Amino acid sequence: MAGIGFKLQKLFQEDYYSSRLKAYTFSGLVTSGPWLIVILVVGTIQWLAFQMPMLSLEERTIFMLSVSYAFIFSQIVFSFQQLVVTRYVADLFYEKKAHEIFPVFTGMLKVTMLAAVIMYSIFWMISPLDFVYKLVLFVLFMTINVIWVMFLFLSAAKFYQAIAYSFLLGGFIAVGGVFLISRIMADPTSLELLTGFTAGMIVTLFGLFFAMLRTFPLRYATREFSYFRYFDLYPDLFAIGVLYVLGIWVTNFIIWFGEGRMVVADSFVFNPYYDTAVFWSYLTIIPTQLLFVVAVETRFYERYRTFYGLINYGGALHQIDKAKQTMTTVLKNELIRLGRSQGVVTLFAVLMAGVFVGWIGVPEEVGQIFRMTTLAAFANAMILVLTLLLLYFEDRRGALLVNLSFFTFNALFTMLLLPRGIDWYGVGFAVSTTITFFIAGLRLIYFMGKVDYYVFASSNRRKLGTERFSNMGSMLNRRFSR
Amino acid sequence: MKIGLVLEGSYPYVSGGVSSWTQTLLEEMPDVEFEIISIQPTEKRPEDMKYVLPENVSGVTHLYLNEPGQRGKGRMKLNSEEEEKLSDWLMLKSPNRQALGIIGSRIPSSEAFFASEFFWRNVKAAYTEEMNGGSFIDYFWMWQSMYMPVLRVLHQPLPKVDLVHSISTGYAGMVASYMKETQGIPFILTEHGIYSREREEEILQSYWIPAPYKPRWVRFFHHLSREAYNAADEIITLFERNREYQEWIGAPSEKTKIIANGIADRHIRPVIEPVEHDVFQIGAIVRVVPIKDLKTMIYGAKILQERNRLFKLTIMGPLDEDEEYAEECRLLIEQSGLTDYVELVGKVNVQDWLPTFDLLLLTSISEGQPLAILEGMAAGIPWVATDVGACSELLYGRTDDPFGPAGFIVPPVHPEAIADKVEWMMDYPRERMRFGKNGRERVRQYYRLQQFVDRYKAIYEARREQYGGHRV
Repeated sequence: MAGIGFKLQKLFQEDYYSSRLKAYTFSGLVTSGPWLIVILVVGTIQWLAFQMPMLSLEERTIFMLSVSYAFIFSQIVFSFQQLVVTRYVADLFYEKKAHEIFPVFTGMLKVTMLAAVIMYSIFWMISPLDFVYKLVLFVLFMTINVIWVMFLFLSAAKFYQAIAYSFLLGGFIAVGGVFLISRIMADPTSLELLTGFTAGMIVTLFGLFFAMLRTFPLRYATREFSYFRYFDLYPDLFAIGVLYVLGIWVTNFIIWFGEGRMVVADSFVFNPYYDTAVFWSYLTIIPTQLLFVVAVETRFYERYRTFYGLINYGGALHQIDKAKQTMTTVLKNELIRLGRSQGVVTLFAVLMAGVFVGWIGVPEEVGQIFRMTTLAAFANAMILVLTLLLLYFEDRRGALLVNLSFFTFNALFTMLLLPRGIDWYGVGFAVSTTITFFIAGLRLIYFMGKVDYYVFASSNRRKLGTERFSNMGSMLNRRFSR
Repeated sequence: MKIGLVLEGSYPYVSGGVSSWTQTLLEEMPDVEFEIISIQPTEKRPEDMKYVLPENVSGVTHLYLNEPGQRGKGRMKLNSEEEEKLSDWLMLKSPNRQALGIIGSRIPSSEAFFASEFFWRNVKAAYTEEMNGGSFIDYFWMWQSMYMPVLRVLHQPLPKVDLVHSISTGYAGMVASYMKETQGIPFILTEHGIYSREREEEILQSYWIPAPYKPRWVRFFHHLSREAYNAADEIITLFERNREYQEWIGAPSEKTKIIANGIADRHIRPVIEPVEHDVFQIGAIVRVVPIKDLKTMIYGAKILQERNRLFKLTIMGPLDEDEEYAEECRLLIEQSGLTDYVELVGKVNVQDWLPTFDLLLLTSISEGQPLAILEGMAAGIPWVATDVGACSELLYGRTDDPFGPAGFIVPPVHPEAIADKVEWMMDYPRERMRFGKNGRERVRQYYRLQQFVDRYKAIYEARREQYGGHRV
């Protein structure tokens, strides 16, 4: 993420309204672009589906759940490797070994696809859906998995436009496909809707793929699994990635077994009230997605670079101290500003929940849960921001602590409150994220106070741990990658 | 009695004054058991040894400055009192043996130490205190490289002994202080050259230490010396001038003592009747290396030749220690047209050659207490030597000396003065003979090997008694 700073800074330096607008749009697109587009696409399709009188509720639900499951579980697959590979690729860039990146891509792709196939085959065995539907859903699931992987590499290479355009185009085709199907077909089915959506995602896949080919002109596949050794070096990054993603979904998973549980086509478990509420709640933190990039990646990043630059390239102590102070002040201000802006949006959403419920036409229970999950989403957004900052400062121990409590508290409180029934849905999520938010905040304050010490001391910390993954990587290299 | 002999960068892997002194000490005390504690920069193999260890050496314990020490596990946990003591020591404020004890036994590993907040606070405090405006990260790394060898040495296993005897200050003195602190044993310090002065010169001349950091490095080595002076029960040196330096650096004068080198009785010759040579025979017993400044000697010879004096200068000593310098000297002799006057004979048995000389010459720019001068004096031959180290003390005698001069002292790097004094010696054979006799008498009185051995033995015994006798 760090690299985007320079480009944005340039945009923000010309302080015209138009360029500022351009900058926000750009930053929104390039960083949270794919996430945003996917959410918007799903939202739009959901809205479109409501407009189809011929489409039965069950068909609509099957389609929506297919897409949701594909996203949720591909994210979980992705989370195993995301941070570790990001780190590995960033180090390759830093060491000016860009030519070694492509094999990592193919290596990660193979591992991801293997995991995805294993995961999907379980679903295949359990689900009684018909063969063609399962096949199309399989294509969609694999497509999304591959998209995440390419997204990682293109972000690392800072090829943000390609990402944004690919997602935009794919999203447009997905929505267009669903729309066309609803118009052409007299009696649209979930299979047709899913095919239309999958077509859009495949377009995104190819867009990203061409961007990959352009970004990494040197392509060969030797030592594809060398990156495994980073699992030995940074087991904490692995844990942080997994805990964060599982932490987000664990509340849903638990509530799928509580009051209001539904099963569609003997394949998909869900909770219509809670899942819907959570979906809308996550839309409320779009401002953070946009503002974080601008606040942190431009204003803060500049001070961050000065601070580390002074340390690494021979600054005097008083200069380092001063840079640390400036950086701390800027970070504090930006975080307060971020929290305030998001807070206003969240508060507005909570207060207006009743109005929206009537407007959209969902049951009153959803509005109740929505108030809670929106508060939780606010804390969740802050937790993500603080985790990213801790990782900026190489405080992996702190980031691990935060995400461990995120997952643990979410699971624990949701489970404890589950027997109290639907009235308490979302409360556990809100309480645990709020606690974790405070933990994260305290950790960042603590760490910032000693950041200069940690920069120096970390150079002396011994790398402990096993060689297990390094050995596994070498073994795979020998057998499958020359 | 088992004595730990701590040596830094010398015996048994490097030959030279300190090493041959050590070999003599070991050989002359066959009834005392010694454990050699040899501090070396990097790992040494048995075949690197330059000396055959005598029977009474129980073994060699190696301490390596640049090899990782024993790695302990865990984080550093010091109480505030320990932190304060260690802090004082790191800041080079005052010598404090307990600080060494803390480093050796309370710090689990150098990694844990350098990653600790305690270390970080001290670097910052020192940087601020020292006014530094320079690169902080460089300063931080300097601190690491300064204390890394300290931790490494103290984290390696040390032998148990009854008494520790260090043959310099520096890291060796530090190890001895630490052993005294942790084993409760007496610590004897013998200093040949003045360690901190030698390091100071090296540091000031080095190009690889950035100028702003030189003062701290100099202070660090002075600090190590003060530490050793403070901890030692006896501070022994070879001659008065060095004793004064030690006092000046911080050695308490009541602990200081002079024990000179000695010559074995068999080398102290009876009076030889003077033999008149046709050609005046001059000898030089030196390793052919720059510090001995042979070029000044050759320039001096050139002046004598120009004054039409007949003489033969024989330079005895190894030519292979600095071959480039030896070649330069050879060329200089050739180009000055001195091939008939000056000869480099390489390494020879000095005792065989000594009786043939009328005069001996030393033109060093740095010396301790040169054995060569003692050997020449013992053989009854007069000297012309430069005013370095103990030369003056040897040739002129100390204040209460009854024997009179054994030669002339000239300033270093002064060919003219050398030529003048040599010419004087040629012209006054009777006085020359008396000078030789004076020297021999002085050696017989003050510089006998047996005296050297007896005094060290007495010190070992007395201190051992004082600290409660045998334990190992």
